[in-house]
Amino acid sequence: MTSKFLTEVQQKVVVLGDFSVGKSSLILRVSKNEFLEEQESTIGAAFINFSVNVDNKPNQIQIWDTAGQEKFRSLTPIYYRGAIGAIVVYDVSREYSFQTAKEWVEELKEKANPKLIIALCANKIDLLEEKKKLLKEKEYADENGLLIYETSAKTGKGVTEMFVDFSKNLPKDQGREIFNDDFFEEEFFNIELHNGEKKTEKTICC
Amino acid sequence: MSKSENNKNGTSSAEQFLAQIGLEPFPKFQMEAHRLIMKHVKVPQLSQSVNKPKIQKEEEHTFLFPNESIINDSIEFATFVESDEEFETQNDLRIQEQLHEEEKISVLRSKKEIKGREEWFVKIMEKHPDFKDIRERIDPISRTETFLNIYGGGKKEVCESINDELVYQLIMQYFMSLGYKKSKKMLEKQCGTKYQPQYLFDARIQTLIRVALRDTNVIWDTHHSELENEINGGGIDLINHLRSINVLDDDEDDDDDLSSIWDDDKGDIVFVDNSNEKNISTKKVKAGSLNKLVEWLTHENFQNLTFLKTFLMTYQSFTSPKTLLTKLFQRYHVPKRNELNEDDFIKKKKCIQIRVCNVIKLWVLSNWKDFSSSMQKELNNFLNKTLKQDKHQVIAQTLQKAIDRQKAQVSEKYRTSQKVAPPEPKVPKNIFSPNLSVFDVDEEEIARQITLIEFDIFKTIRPKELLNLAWSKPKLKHRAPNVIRFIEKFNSNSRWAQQTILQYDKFRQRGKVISWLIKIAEQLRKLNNFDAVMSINSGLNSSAIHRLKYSFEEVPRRLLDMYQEFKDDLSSNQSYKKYRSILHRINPPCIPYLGVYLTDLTFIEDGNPDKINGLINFSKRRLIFDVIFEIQNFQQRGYNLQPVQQIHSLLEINSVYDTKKIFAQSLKYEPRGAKRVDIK
Repeated sequence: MTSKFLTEVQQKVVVLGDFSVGKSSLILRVSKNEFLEEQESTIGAAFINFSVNVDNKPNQIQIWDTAGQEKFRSLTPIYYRGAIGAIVVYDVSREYSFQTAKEWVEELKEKANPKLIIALCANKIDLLEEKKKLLKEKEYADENGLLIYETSAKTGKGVTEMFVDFSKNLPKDQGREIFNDDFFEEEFFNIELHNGEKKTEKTICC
Repeated sequence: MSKSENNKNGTSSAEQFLAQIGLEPFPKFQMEAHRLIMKHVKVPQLSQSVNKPKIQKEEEHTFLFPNESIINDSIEFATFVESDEEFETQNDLRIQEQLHEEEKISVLRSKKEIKGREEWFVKIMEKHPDFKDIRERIDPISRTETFLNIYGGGKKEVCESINDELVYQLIMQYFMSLGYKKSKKMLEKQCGTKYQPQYLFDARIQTLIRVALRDTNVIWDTHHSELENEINGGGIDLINHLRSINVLDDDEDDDDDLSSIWDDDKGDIVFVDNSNEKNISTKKVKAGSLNKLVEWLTHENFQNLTFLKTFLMTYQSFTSPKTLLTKLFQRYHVPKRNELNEDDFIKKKKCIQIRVCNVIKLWVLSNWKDFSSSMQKELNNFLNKTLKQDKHQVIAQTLQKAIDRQKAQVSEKYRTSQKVAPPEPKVPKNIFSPNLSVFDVDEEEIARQITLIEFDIFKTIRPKELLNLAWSKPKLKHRAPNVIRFIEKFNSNSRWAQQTILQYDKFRQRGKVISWLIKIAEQLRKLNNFDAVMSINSGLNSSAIHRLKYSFEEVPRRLLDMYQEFKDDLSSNQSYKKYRSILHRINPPCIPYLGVYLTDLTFIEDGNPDKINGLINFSKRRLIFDVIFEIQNFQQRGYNLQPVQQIHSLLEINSVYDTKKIFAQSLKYEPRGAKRVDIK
């Protein structure tokens, strides 16, 4: 069951971050390479398929965005489960969003698949003064083994570059199985179920 | 020292005031009042006086109260503890001059340390309990200050608005509340300001708070977590309260085009390019100025109902209800223009007036809550005066009927249209027992009750809450209370599932609870309650539960398959492609998963400009309308089920654990890498 699933699905990358850090704008930017243009954009943009050539082989990734659902806290593990990469976005003009980004990174490190590739994306750099150099962010990324990108969804600076470079950093095909959606279940689906035949009783006593 | 200096600097009224009220029965309280006055009036002069301390003169001064010097020092010390070395030395000097021996020692110890100041302060408070008492009694006033200090948004403006008079008024108001009429009179005389009862409450305080709250994003960044807690725990009540006293009025757009709809040459309207469309009435508006949109809304020759509905649902993303009503009234008063002959003019006028009334009627029927009390008054005037003058009695009557109906319904509970009696609830025999456990109740009944609770919240979500991404923006959050409530319910259902599993320390029992939850999810799915299925899913998928390998092994294969099916159905893969297709096939009643709509709205909002060349982008509003319209469709069909209060209370979470605690519990029961034999 699971192997069939794998052949159909591309590698999954999730975009996470606080409210209004520009997650959806990044996706919109890279999917159409246009920001706030006049043409109507529809909901199809909520995910994009992205293909990048690595060693002359196309590497297909699907980028998932949860913009708008940040309040559904309990739901987020579902999103990052099964992902091979996560891009944690923050807004350089709002200090608080970096704190949230750090919390995200911590959660991913603690609870997500240990082999998950994590990138920190410093968005809205168009709002940052030239002189300022994101030093502490870079230091943080270094310490935690994160990739770091600087982007501006508004001007388009660094957006496509980020997705291309990030895709190149993802593990290749052979590594996919371990990132399968249900790496726990896969294990125990093969185990004989101990309790499968027993009738479950309704009342559970302590 | 400073006090004598200040006598010369125009604060003698405060000084005299203090001397006079010394005769009052509660002198210490007034000292605190004096402190407040001194603090506000003196500040600019103080630094000078600090540089040239006149200790000798100060000593000649006979104190009005034995404690006064201490109080003054404490205040000035507190006000001026800065890194300024020179000042500190001087300050210490002054204090040394004035304090008793034992206090000297403590002050010396505190030199150069802000911490020392706190210690010193605590000591003083211990030594002078009466002063502590005053401080506590004056708390309401100090709190106002602290509040304004904390909420730094617009701090400058707040500081500017706290002038002497305001401080006097505050003190007098406090006097009045305690019945100190004599003190109040004295102060009035001294400061030359008449006390204005209610003056502060009605205008000043509100203005102050509003100014302070204006830049809520700043507050959000600095106090994010505290505010979050407030919102989760009854903060909405606070916000509602603030709104009810008009403190949290929405910042209405200042650039609303208020030029008369009849004299607008600048406005424009453009249509979606569709050359096949010959009929003007069904043309799709792409963008337009507010005036032109209202004109299109009430066109003399035709009425486009789809446009009208879209407009009424989304107009609050580009204008306010008040402005819209003004525009409609403007439109109603058709001016006589020379290009038309008398007959044509009368005909045109009548057509437009009827259209305007039609729009108002539909507006009343669809969004009655948009009408504030002042707007209701205006509307009433319009019905009883304007319409009657123009001999539109029939229209006035119809409108009145619509309004009456809405007014009656506002208080009325949600109508369930079903005439059939609801199915008999499946209650267990011990339903009235105090020991009733949630596991005694049939899964189907649990699912029903969850659904009833959720639908109660779901149906209250109003279109306005879904505009401008209000639910996700700190500034606009108060506009979306029900969306937030609904999401909170989702999260709490998920926590409930997790906690119910983790209350058992044996994996077999946990496995049974998981099975039980999957069966509930099955029933929820039958009820088309996708929101709850999703929340149970998210509970089972949470980091704390998903890792409980041995508990999941206890779950029968059939249920695991079913669980997998729910997960696939609701997967966010390809923007919820599968879920969307399921949703479009089902028959209501249904509670959809709201998150999908919220993501859609986010992409529509972020992917399209609000304005195109200065004109309101109406195409964007049409996209938003489509989303909200779908939600509204589901809101209209309620569930025909019988609520069972006893079960409702079983479903409440008594103690809420945070995610960390839940995860720790999970690790405790099934540690990382534990073997089956190692755990219970």
